Amino acid sequence: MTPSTTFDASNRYDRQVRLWGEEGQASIGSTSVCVLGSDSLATETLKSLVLAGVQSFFIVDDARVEQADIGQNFFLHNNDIGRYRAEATLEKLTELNPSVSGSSSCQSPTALAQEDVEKLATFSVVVAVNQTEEIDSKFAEVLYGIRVPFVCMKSYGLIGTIRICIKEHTIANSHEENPRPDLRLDAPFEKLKEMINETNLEEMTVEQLRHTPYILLHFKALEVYRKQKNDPNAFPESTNDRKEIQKILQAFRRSTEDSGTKDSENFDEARTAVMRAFQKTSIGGSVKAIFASPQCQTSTQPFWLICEALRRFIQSNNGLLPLRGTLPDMTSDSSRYTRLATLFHEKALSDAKEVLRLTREVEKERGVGDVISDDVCYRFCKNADRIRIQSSDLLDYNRETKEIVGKIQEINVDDETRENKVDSATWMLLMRAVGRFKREKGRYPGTNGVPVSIDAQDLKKRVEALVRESLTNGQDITPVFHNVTDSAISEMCRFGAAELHVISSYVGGIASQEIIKLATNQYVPIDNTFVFDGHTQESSTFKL
Amino acid sequence: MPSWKDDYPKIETVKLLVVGAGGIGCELLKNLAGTGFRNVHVIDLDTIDISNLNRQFLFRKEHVSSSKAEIATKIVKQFCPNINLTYDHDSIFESKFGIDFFKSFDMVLNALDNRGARNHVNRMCYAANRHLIESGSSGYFGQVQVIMRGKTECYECQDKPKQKTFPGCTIRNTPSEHIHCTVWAKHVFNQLFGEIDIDDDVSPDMQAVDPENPDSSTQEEREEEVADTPAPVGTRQWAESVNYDAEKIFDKLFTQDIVYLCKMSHLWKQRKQPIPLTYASALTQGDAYSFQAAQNKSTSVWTVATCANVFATCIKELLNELKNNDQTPLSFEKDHPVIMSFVAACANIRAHIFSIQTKSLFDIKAMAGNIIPAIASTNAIVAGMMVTECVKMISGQEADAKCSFLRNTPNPRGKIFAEQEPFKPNPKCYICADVRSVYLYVNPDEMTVGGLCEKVLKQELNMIAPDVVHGGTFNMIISSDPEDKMDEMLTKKLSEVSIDNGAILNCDDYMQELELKLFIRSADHLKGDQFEVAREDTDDKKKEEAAAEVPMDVSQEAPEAPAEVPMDVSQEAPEAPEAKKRKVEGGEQEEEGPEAKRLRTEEQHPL
Repeated sequence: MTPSTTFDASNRYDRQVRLWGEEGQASIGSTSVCVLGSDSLATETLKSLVLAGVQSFFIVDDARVEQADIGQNFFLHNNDIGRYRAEATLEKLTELNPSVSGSSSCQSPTALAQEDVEKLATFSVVVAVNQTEEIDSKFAEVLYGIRVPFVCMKSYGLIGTIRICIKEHTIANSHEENPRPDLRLDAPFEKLKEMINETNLEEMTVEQLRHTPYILLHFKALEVYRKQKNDPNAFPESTNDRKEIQKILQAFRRSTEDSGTKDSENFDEARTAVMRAFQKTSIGGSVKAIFASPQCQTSTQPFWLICEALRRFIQSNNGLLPLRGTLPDMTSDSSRYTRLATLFHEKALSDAKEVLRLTREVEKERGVGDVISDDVCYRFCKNADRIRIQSSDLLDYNRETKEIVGKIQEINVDDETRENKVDSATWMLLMRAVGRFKREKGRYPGTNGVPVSIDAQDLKKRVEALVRESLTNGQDITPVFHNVTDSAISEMCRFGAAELHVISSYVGGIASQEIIKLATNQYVPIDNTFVFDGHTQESSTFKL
Repeated sequence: MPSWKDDYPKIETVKLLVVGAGGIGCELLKNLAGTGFRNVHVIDLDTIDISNLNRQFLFRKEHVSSSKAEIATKIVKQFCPNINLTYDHDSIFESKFGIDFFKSFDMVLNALDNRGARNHVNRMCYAANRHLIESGSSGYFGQVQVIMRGKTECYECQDKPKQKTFPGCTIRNTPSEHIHCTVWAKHVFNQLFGEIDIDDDVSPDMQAVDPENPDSSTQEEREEEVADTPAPVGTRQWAESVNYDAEKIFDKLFTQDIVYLCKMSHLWKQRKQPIPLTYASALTQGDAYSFQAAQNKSTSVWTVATCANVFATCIKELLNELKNNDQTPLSFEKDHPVIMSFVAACANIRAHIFSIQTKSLFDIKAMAGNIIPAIASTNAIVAGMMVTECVKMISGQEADAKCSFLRNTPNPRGKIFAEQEPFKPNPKCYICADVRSVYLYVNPDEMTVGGLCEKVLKQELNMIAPDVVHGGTFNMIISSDPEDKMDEMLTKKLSEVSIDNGAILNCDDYMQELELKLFIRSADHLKGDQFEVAREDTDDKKKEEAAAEVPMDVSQEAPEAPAEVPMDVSQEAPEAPEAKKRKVEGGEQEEEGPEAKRLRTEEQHPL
């Protein structure tokens, strides 16, 4: 039986909705992408975005399809030669997903930047693919000012680079792995307190004791600990304190008459969990910084509206975030586990309701309607300890070259290693040298039939010039230059500006992945520069 | 520093085998074509489903239900007419893909979605002495592993995390989580429309001991509780006797069987007793949406009435499907809307009866189908890494081979990739070590030869057609040749054919050219066909550990505590259910294997 068309979209996106949720899919579905360039790398990037279901894309390029494109760009045919490349790729890309609308412009990207800042402001993200440094810089500046994310990427021979430029990116759920459980051992809520008070380990049968969820054992151990310390508020602070808790737990164990053993899973779990669970409930530095940000006080952006509500919630909630409300795995009988799980869930719900009320208050004060849905607010509260912001500086090639040169200065490897593996910072510098080569000579090194050895000399001069400009007067350039080997320079020339399909596929895959992270405000994107070296299949990320 | 330009002649002539034309496979074929590879063969058994279209970009809506291998080949050739790309729409386990077949290629690239097939290709590549590039993805996670016989570890050198299973009595008598109801509902589907497996019984199990309170009742007490009630009968037989009348089946499963369960009062001393539900009363509980309307509410939780409605419609539809297919048993298929809706409705009704929170079709599908999230970009990255490794291999840079691992989020040092040198072969691996041994813990008085063959050798150890000879008596125990007429053997207990503690069995799979020794260790606590396998004798291991007695130190502990949850659990699903751990083991196996396994990289350790 073939599924009917009505639930087409939900079936098409089923496997990815399970990754980023309905809300993520909705964000992607309202994302419009502008791509400057239409080569293989641009096509590969767009391919994954179109498949994911963005709302629309716009390709800007005045290039025409040439013979060389056919080998590199999987989607282009021989009979596309001579057509505008933007149009030809647009046609192939729209076939991938009927619900995505695409358009193209056959003007050069330079023209767009000059004439139409307003148009740029309508895009959710702008991507510059294998553009010149001048175009990159021009767009970066305009987009930074209007807070539109800008992704600048290049694929050059076996090297690929991605630079994400965004003034401020908010992350509603970082999906940080293994977050610390939110058990509130130091600050149990009312209903939980009641359950702890009802629990009496001594009166239990051995069976009951062995099926007591470890969180209750922890609370009981804490009671004993406080008695021992003669301090009703004592809480283990150090590893040694936590070891004392483990000893107390050990003393709770009982053996049955017949077996005489003390094996029981819940006590083992309790013991193991002590180190992680006995931590004071606190707000992490990155979340605190968000609440301290001036944006919190004024912004009308949805993220900041809830953050302000959260900040107010914390003030009236003894400095605690809303309860996450999920309970970790623990050995237990069903009834007590279910009761605990329900208590946690209900408390989380009531916390979230309060945050929602405060959000409505903030919305009113700032003169915006009810922009935050109940769902969004509840989800936000659940992940409140995992909200993040990322900010980065304006793309500035001169400043960044200085930083790159600084990194190369720090490289300290022996000659053999240097010959075998070029450091990612060195590749970045070489990419800049190639950019300057192109600007000054109007072509890329290793092209136009010029022998590699000759262009290598020319490229080397540009590397030297870049290094000199980056160092302050009097600094010795040799340690830096030592790290930029002749073979690396020659390799750059051998590439002859060739784009390799597989490198584009890979770098395009990463770029689209990062763009989806930006669009969904979920997961943490690369911050902010990524370099891939196809020789070694190694990559690195650094902040410029 | 070698550049790819010198490698083009090799790239053009080398012959590659790609196993799988799904998510990674589509990207891989594109990349191979785009890089200049000209001789490629692709094998895939699967057909195209609508849920593939978000990433398997070679396929369009009009291709749904066609062969993946065929369409992928056709489309790639359209874009790249120069490629000599051929395909088989077939299972990789077929005997025609023997050692000689594998030897006819220079290298093999895996783009698979299940462990069984991965294990098999691993063995074939080992036997044929061909390099294998293995891949996997799950959501934003991806990885590539290069496997070279004798030089790196093979796919099976390390134990993989086991899939979560539940004991039969939890499923049949005392579900406490929704997943138990979902597993039960899948069993109901198999009982009614699928291949009947005795392990899939869905009626109350009177023999079962309460897993949470094993000492709470004696056999006599349990028998007494249900003394005056007729024992439940087989579901299929019963359904046939009432001509698959939906209302009657409903009332049997959800009224009569539940009433019977309630009589087993020892189970309900510390649990909430289930509440029997009739079809008639179910229909009065909330709005009753039709099957079609319910499909559009896949992310909201259906009312009891809707569940009952969907249950009845699905039974009729599935019965028709059975009739239209000459009564060929159906198999569970998560993307089949009727089958999936039946399982969801059934699971929710049972959950309702046991006071367990009901769930949406969307969520139940994730559990029932063991669905792993999958997106285009990760597959593009993985396929890119695979081709990069492939080019390295063919240009003789074997020493530079890397295993790569893609994370969903930058690590504390900002990296989203981790690369590492491949590990050396594990000398204790039962696939690629010189001496291949597996320790099998069973109860020889309980396990049958048939169980040994199906459950241990085929399911657990992934053999295809094993021959087994007793190492002491040299008697043939299992034969892959039907001519040998060994069927009688299958029902015998191991102890009846002198397989006891200490016995050694020589197991040989002709197709995989795999011989291994199975060391039998008797474990009396295991029942029926239950078993455990280990790479090492646990007694030896304990002795070794005692001898080594290293003082505990943090650095030693770290590798044992991965910071990330193993991918085998589909934990990436949004709002994934938090599974409670109970005292459970043995039993249920899920349908679909994991799409990816995890590399043991430094990235896994808490930092």
